[in-house]
Amino acid sequence: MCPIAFSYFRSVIKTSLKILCFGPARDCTGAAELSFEMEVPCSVGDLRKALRIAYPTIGDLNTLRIAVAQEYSTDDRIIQGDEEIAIILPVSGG
Amino acid sequence: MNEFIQLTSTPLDPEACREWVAEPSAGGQVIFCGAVRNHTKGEVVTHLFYEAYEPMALIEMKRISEKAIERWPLVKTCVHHRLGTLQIGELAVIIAVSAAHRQAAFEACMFMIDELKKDVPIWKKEFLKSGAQWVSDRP
Repeated sequence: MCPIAFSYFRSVIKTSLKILCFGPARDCTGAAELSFEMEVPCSVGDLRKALRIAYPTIGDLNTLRIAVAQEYSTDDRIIQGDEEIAIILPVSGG
Repeated sequence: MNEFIQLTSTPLDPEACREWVAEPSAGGQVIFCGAVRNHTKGEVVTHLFYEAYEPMALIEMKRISEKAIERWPLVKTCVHHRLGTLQIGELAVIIAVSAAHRQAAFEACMFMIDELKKDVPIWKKEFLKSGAQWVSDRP
């Protein structure tokens, strides 16, 4: 399949991702559950960069982790839009 | 079931944790208790508040326990973390492990509290004389 046909069939939808925010992340975004506009499917890496732009005080990309389905996710994980997503800023339990 | 993982808003009980890990085959029982300290970086702390992403925190606490069981010949493990408002001297966390011999128990207990501090989604807010702030492990 040629690249043009591929991009024609690939459907990208703009949606509001529901993102859970706890502790310092909730203070930073101002919401316990954020509605965040993204085109899906997107990668966790895309989402991290978009959050960094939307909330410059959220910290740098080294410390901003994303959990998908209650599990730490790497940047290549693809988000479809219906998963449970959470921002995990540096933890301080114990 | 050789693991006892719990998040709770009621006071933690070290003796209950020790009793949980006690077994006739376990000659070594190690318990770590993390208590609320009255100072941080030269400032007076009045109290703390702990909050968790609870379902994921329980998954991560269990994962840490399972990693320790894989790595050391443990008999039983116990990981309890308190949530909500805690006063100075109250316990925020207890890790208890038992093994046939002490070395495995000491090493596993140290490993588990170190991992908990890195990866379990729990956040603490310090209330100081000068105001309140979320503690981050950012340098």
